[in-house]
This record gives sequence, C-alpha cells and structure tokens, in this order.
Amino acid sequence: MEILTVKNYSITYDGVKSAVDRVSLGIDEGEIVSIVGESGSGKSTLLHGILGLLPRSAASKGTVHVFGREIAEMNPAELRKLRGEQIAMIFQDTGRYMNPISRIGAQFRQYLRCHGNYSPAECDAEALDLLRRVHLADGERVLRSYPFELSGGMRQRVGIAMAMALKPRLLLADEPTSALDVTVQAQIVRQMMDLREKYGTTIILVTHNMGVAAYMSDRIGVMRDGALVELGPTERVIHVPENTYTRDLLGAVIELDDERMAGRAI
Amino acid sequence: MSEYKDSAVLELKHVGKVFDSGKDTAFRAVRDVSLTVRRGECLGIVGESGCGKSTLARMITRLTDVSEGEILLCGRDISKLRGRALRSTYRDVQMVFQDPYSVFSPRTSVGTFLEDALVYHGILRRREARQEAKRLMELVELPSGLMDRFPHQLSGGQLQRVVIARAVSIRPKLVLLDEATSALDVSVQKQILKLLVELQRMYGLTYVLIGHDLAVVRTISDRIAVMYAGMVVEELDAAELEQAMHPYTRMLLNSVFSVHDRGRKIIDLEEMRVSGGHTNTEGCPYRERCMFAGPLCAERRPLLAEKRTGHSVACHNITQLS
Repeated sequence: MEILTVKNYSITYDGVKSAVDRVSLGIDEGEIVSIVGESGSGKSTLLHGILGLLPRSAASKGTVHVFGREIAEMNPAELRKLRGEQIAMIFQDTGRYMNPISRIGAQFRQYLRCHGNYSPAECDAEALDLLRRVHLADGERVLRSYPFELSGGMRQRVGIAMAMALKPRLLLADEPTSALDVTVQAQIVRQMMDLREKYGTTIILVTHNMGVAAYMSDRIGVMRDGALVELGPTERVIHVPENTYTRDLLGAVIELDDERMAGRAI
Repeated sequence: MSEYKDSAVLELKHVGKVFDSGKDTAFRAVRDVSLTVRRGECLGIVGESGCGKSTLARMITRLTDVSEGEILLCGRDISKLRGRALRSTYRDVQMVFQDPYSVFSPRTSVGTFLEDALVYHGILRRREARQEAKRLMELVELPSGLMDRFPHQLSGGQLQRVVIARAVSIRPKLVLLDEATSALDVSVQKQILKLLVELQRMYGLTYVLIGHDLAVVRTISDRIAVMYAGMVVEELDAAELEQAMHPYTRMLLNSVFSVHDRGRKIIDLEEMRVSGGHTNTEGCPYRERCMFAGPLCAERRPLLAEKRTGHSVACHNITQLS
C-alpha cells in the first residue's frame, strides 16, 4: 500500500528558482527509499515539505498525500497529531534540536506526555526501555545527562529512540549519519534497518553518502537542482544508471578498493 | 635507515599533549606519537573525532604548544621555538582546513588573499605579486577573472582551490591537510584530491593528510597511521591497508560503506556508554570495545611494534589475529 504520494510537487523560495522542481514519488508501506544528491539539490527541502515544515516564505505547488490525506489541507491540531504519532523525523544533528539546559530525561518525558498518554513514572520506564533498544547501556545515566554531556553518536541514538517512542509508521531521516564517525555511522545505519525489521517502519533517508544509500535502501532516488532525475530499485540505479548525472555521481565516489591516485608502487 | 633519515621532512619523536585544567586530572589528548614523513611523501592520519589527530596537527603547525617530545622539521627541532624563529616555521608548514570559508576575511578579494601571503613572507613585492597570483589561479584551474571576487561569491570547492594555491605559493616544506575535502560534495572532493596529487608531483610537496574517511585517505597517501585515544595504534603502507591487523583498524575498515557491498556487510550493534573522555589508566585504551581483549590488555598499554617490514601495530593479541 502506498502511504506517501508526492505529485508534481514544487517548492520555491523567491518565486523564480525552484528548490524542488515537479517531483513525483510514491512510497509503499515498509519500504526504505534513499534520496541522494549533492548540497543544494533540494533533497532536504523535499523532506521538510513532506512533513509540512516549510517556512512561510516558501511557496509550494502540487500535492503531498500522507496516509491518504493531503498535508496542505490539515489544520495545526491534525498536523501535530500526525507528527510524532504517525511520522517522526531525525535530523543531522539531533543535539541541536534539544534544549541545552534541560536533561535528556525531562525532554523525553515531555515528548512522551505531549504525544502519548503516559504518567510520569510510565514515561521513565518507557524511556529506559527505548534507550536499551537503541543499545544505550546505562540508560539511567543518559536520562540524567544534559545533551552536551553525550557524544554525537549517543545523541543521535537518543534522537532515534525518541522518534521511535510512539512507533510511527513513517520515519524521515535527514542526513542522520553525516556528522558522525564512520563506526558510529555503521551503528546508526544498522539501528534504522532494525526498525523496519521489528516494526515494519517505512523510512525515507536523505543522504549524500552513496554507500549508505546502497546498503540500506530498496529504492534510490537521485536529485539534482530540485528535480528527481532518477528513481529505481537500488541494484538497477547502482549498476545500470539511466541518467548521466547518476553515473557521474557514482563515478565520483571514492572506494576502498579503488586504484589509488598517488603513492609509491610497492 | 640513514638515507631515509636524510630526506625526512618531518619527524615526530614521542610527541604528547597534556591539557591540564589545574584542578582536575590532566587530560592526555596525544601520547607518545613517533612518526616520520619523507620528502615527496603523503602520510595519512585517520581516526575518529576526539582521537587527537587535530591536536597533533596543531602541534606540528605550532598553533598549540607541544607538551612532550620533539618535532623535527628537516632535522631542526621546532617544538620549543618562540618569537621570530617560530614565525619562520609558520611559513614552512602550511595548513589547509576543512571549511575554506573560515580561512578568508569576508572583505578581502580572492586575488588580494593570494598576494598577501607572498608579500607577507617576503617572497615578492606587491607589484609582482599580482602577476604571480594570476599564475596561481591558473595552477589550480580557476579563471583569473575570479580574482576580484569576494569569498562569498565563490563555491566551497573554488575557495578550497584558492586556499591550496596560497599554501603552495610560499613553497612550504610541509603541507598539512586537516580534513581538507570533508566538507565538499563528492564530485568536488575527487577533483580537489586530483589537484593535490598533481601539485605534489609538480613541486615534490610533502603532505600530512588528516581525515576520517579511510577511502579518501588511502587514495592519496603513501603511509597511513591510525590513531585511537591519542595514540598511534597501527602504521602501514596505504597500499596494504586491507592487511591491517589492529582490531580497531579492522573495525574502521568494516564501517566503510561501498556502493557495491549491498547486503554483504554485517554490522554488530555495540553498546554505548556515557564516558568521561579517554581513560587515563593503564592498559590498552581500546580494550573496552575490543572483542579480543584479555587480562594483559587491562594491565599494560601495548606499544607500537613492527610486525612486518613497514607495518607496526600496538596490540597484545596480534599473533592470534592473523
């Protein structure tokens, strides 16, 4: 079943140049789809548009249907219910979206009580359980910590735990691993794939890392200058890209088994 | 060994950095690092954030003081220099940072930025510098028409080319590239790496490249040093990176996603704990994450030892790994 349908969707900030240019895209329940592209290609803007998070200065055309309902026609109360309960989002640096002077535990409680029906005691138990599931071992200590006391990777795991708290059907991930170390990136990638395995979560991942996209997703979409220039099953896009830009992009990826550019031969 | 010694541009001997806050226990960001970089060579230093690689870079460029050990630049110890003598090393060691925008003054045109370096270091007079700046722009494949532009009018890739041109223009003994391509788009990244390799061949430049992306570091380095918790845990030829032995290097290698290994890679979920930075206690700093850790690892810190020619590893369990 298609749970997200984007049709002929454009976003413009100044009325002249389109940040997102006539994008059409349908996503099935339980699918993992990656949107790749370079900076300024409009991939993040598209994600924000889907969640109805665009600033007022942005004008959009076309339609976005989530679970059969059009985002643009929903009132603030409905949007609020949709976000958190049905759709969750994780960002590149989750720490930036946390309150720096409030402990993780307090923010977790606030999030749970805001969207769900929990008593304070239930909140803590639930939070601990969620942190354990994202492999944060000393959950109690995490809840007592301020955001800056955690490493970037841990904050990202807290972000994922929060995003998953209400078991949303759709997870939007905007460069969730780009600011992280490679070993932590691998962990977060694994964590997101776990979500689909365990809860059947549908995931849209925006990334510039072709390797991560290829590893995780069922389908890959390539964006350039706001347009979706290619969309297809991962194997096909990687091995027989139809678009020249996709080919260039793949050609620019530096791999561990590439011939080295420099250095002594031994 | 002696013929190598002669051409060594940079030698680090037991270099360490201690941040002492006065009241708390001192934090050792870098400990006992010994490395050699020969003329025309590129040494890659890889490691995760907080491993001390940037602190090491700042010591080599003397942007921060050296707490322990010696740093020899072409045979001369620069680790304790001050004043005028230190200023001349600033010319000898040039640095290229991750974010080119942070290097520029927003009100200085790109051309002036290039000229200033030549004039400041007394290489050319202002009049001649203009001409040289034009040549430098060509060298890094930028149209000379961009010279009158300001930093915000150029793309990140273009600006990084200007930064590289300036670094090379004053003929430094060593160019330190600190995550120089990490902030750039993939296609731009590859172009900049190619440019760096070309310039290295043309001028016989010596590089130290600091990075977190193993594939990028490997592609332009001759040697690779892997850092963990302030120490070098493995050092080997870049061409032999696949034969790395240290469990941490193995884990780094396994964390790199290739567009071709779909479904093949297995990632185990690790437990993460709130920690207070590096452990200052004895023993191997990696032991808590290491699946091979034994009782010896908790007692004694493993030292870097040559396991094969040109391949050193700091691990107690290395014989059992292969």
